[in-house]
Amino acid sequence: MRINHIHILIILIIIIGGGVLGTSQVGLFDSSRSVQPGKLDDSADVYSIADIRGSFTITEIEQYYQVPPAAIIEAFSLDKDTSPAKFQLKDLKEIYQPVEIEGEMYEVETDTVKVFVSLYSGIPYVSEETNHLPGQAVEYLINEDKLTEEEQDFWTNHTFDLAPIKQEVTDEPVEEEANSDYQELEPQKEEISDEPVTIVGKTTIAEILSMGIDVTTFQEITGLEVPEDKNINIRDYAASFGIDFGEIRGKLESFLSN
Amino acid sequence: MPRKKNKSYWLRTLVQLFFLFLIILISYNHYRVEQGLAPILVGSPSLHAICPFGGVATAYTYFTQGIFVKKIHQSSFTLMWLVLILTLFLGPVFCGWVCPLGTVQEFIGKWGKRIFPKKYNHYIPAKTDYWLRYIRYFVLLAVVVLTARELTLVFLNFDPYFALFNFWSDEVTASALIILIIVLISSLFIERPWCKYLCPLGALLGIFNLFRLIPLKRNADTCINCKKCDRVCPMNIKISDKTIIRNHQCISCLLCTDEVACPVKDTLNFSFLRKQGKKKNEKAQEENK
Repeated sequence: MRINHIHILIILIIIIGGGVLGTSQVGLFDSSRSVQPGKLDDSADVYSIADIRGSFTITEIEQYYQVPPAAIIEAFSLDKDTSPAKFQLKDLKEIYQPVEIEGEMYEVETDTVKVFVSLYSGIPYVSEETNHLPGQAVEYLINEDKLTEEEQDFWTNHTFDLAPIKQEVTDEPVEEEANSDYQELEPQKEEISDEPVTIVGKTTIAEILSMGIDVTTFQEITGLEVPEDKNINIRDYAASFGIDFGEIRGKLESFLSN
Repeated sequence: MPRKKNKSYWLRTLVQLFFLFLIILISYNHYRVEQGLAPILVGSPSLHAICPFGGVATAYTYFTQGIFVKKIHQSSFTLMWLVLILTLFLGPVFCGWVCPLGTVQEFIGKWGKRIFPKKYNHYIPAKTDYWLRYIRYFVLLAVVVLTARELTLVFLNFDPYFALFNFWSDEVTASALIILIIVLISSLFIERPWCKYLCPLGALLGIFNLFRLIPLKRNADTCINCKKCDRVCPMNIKISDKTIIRNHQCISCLLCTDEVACPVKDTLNFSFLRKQGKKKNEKAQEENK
């Protein structure tokens, strides 16, 4: 049997197309994000700090490294309403300006948190980038008695001030606060708005439920059970069942608009 | 009398365009979602999630430590297996039909062919070219070893595929952009320069050419030695002096086959069978008289 273009097209559809669909059904095609960090030592449940990624949320830092969300929120001077389940470490870059340290610009981001987590938890981590921490973070570590004397001596002399990125002042009314993406949703107000409801890929199941759709209605509209983890976003959740997000979004928006 | 050409060879171009626009759309969607907008038509995964090479780069850490290196997703690991299965049967079809970076190089090469009709794809002396083609195996080895050692996607710093479809992102490094520019400019002179000399995924898939289940076969009895197959091969493989072609650089584009370039029916094609039936050969010879 000779293989021609049509055969190759069919084989491509079967292996690549069918393979992607099939593995999606059994949860082997998760394109949303990487999974858990590696363990530091096979004999213990200690996760490697080097594996902390910018996409990790504060909740995941608590889950893997037992650092309470309040510690990160206070040490990095985040808004008290910050949602630990939504705030990703890479979001720090959007909040704080780079600071000049020893003639070089330093960005407050994932590696800064890695060093903080290492000092807080005692899990070893050697950073090649971070040898200064925000003053608030060092102060927090000292207050919590997490630093040895030697560490205290070093870190109290290696601090910098966090400089929030300034928001441009406009005459337009500001609809949302700068960090609102990461903050907990305000309790729903009874006001009726004429604005069309918008659901984006990042909208979580919890947010959808808080828009006024109850669990039963959600199941009726989408054909999907409400997951245990309601912080999963709707796009990824739909994709895990091989359902197109656009289809669900249309139905949900239409229901909410009515 | 020249045989009427089968028009189905356009299918490959259509498939290439499909995957090229799919990747552009996914990349654009990823940008849209970052801006808080809804994706269009398809999802918005990162390009790392839909590149099978991510799976290759992280294979060692997955099998030894059970983890994926940073930025690598389950999907890229699964894609790697799907591509390897495909390659086991058909050789590097992924390179010739799917890879959008290969497609872009090929399309730029079409201009190169027009600008330099005689010299195009023959600038590098054959002997030098022969050895240069082994560089990609060192790239593959270096990427796998460094990724395992550093536990980060070191190849990202040099990856022209990611740079091409994410050039606006601050994740793209200057070195990757420089490599991309060099590759794109070189494509005017050399067909698929990245694939030939440097692509680590191409290197891995190329090895499958040595034992693929459906190899390229030339029927020496019916071959008229016109050498059209040699001339059209984008990878400069000398096909006309072999009966079973198992060159590590073949990308299964089918350009050389009797469906496209070869003028004699049942003379050059990919097939399961080790030997063409005698009757079939005779019939083909009669048809071509």
